[in-house]
Amino acid sequence: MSDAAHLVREVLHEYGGIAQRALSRYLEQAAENDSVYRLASDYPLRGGRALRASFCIAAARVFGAPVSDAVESAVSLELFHNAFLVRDDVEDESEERRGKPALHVLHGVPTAVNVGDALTVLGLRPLMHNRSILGPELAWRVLRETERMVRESVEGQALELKWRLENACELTDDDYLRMTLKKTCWYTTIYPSRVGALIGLRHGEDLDRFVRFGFFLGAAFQIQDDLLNLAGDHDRYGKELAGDLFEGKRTLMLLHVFRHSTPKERAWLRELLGKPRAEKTTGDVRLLLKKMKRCGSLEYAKQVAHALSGAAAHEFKMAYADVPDSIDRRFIEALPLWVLERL
Amino acid sequence: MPSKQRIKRPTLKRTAPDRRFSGAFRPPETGASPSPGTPNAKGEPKSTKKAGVPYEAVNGAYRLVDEYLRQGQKMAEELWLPQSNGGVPDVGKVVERFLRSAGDMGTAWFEMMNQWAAGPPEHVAPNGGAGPFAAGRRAAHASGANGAAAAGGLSTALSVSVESSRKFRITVDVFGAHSGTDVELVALKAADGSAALIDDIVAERDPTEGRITLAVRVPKGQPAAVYNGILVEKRTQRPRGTVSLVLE
Repeated sequence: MSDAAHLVREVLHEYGGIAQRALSRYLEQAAENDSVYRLASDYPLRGGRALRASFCIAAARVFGAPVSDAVESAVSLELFHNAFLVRDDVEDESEERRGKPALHVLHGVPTAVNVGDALTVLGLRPLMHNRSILGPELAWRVLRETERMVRESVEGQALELKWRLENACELTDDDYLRMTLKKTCWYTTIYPSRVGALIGLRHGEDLDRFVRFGFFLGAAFQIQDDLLNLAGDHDRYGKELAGDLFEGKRTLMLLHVFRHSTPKERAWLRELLGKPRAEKTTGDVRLLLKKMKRCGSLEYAKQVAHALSGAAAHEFKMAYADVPDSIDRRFIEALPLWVLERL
Repeated sequence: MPSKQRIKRPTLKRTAPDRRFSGAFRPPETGASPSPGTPNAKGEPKSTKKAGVPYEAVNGAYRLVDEYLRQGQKMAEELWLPQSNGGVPDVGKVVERFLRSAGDMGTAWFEMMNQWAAGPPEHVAPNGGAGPFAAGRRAAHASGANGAAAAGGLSTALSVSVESSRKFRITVDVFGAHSGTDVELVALKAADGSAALIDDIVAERDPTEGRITLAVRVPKGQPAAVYNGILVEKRTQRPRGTVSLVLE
């Protein structure tokens, strides 16, 4: 493990632990009143790295804020993140999440949808508590950033669903990145860096400088996630391997193999992608994966992820140019490399 | 004698500098075969096309995010919302923000008063000076004459020292500053406008620690009053805190 990965792991352990404890208090309090909140505790308590919460806290600390100023926003983000996971698993018809059956597999789709709503509502509570910690003005600004983040994520997911509904196959890498910017980057990397800076600096000037850094970092993260789905270690990855192929998820690899197929192969691929998940066979998926490897689609995506990680490292220097050295700064600086090394 | 064909200048690939980001990663454009990639089965070198593909993806990504930011700015300008920081700063908006911050401080003051009414407040032992101060927190009160330097214990970078023949109390509140912020205090003005300004204020920055010390010298004969001033960030000229000096 590189030094960067080691540092990231340590900070994730520390800040993730703080966020997890605070999140558990919200869940326990809510679960006393209603069983839907007991179900809502399922995904958050299954573990996870708390990357987004940790990033939010570090991004505030790097500008001088104490941990206590950023925890509520970090917890809110984790609650929204879990709400998105529940929703995504329903919409993607995923079977597994974090090594266990997905929530809708255990309790049915209607209950899972309701639990997703419960997590979303719970996500607002820490933002309300921000008022007494950060003051009304700053709390309001954090809320505005949160509204934008949720809106972008919903719009990104809508784009992906539209592609699946229309069985869109002739998409470009730009299309993929545009969708990823909205669906993944906003809530994984852009929002934590912006809100962290907002809390640390106490003003909202110049937050756009974090958008480029967050975008490249989040895109590299997502592409690596897509690669792990096809080639990762199941026990450490936590989702079913090649699940994305069963779901027909439009990844860089899928778009690449489509572009590099003959007309006959494209017709086959189009037909396969148009089938519901239950009708896709293991044989079909194995064949698709074999074709991807033959065309160099996995290698291509890996190269793009590396290039975007490099761009993220470059943009880090722009975004955090005037920030003095600290563990938190080094943690954020290490993220572009860590997203490629993580398992 | 056969006529010679006129030698023509070859068409250049580009006629202006290539400042795209991908140029930082692209292999050098030489006549020789590029080094990335192993030769194929025939021993022929791989074409540059494959090596350039991820760089084109990054180029595309830059175009995408820059267009996204431009659209956001345009929408912010059309809706007149402070969602983006492009363009010339609107002074009216700056004043509005400062008034809102002052409103926040007023709210915080009342909340603090309510708490104090309920029980004794926390005190840091006064030693004639105040600081260093953490961003976002109300400073400890300090009083005395010929105030010394910082009350310690906090890890950020601002101290205020006061030299005065009168007894005094000083309160400093800092917000929005971090250890790298360079601030100045221009003057302290009497709240009721009755007395002259206290503007003998010198800011010194320790280059190794980054700590700023504001040394306030109260002139002899300065009347008893409450004097207030604003800490301003030098770079942006935005308010980053307040200083309140009570001369008794």
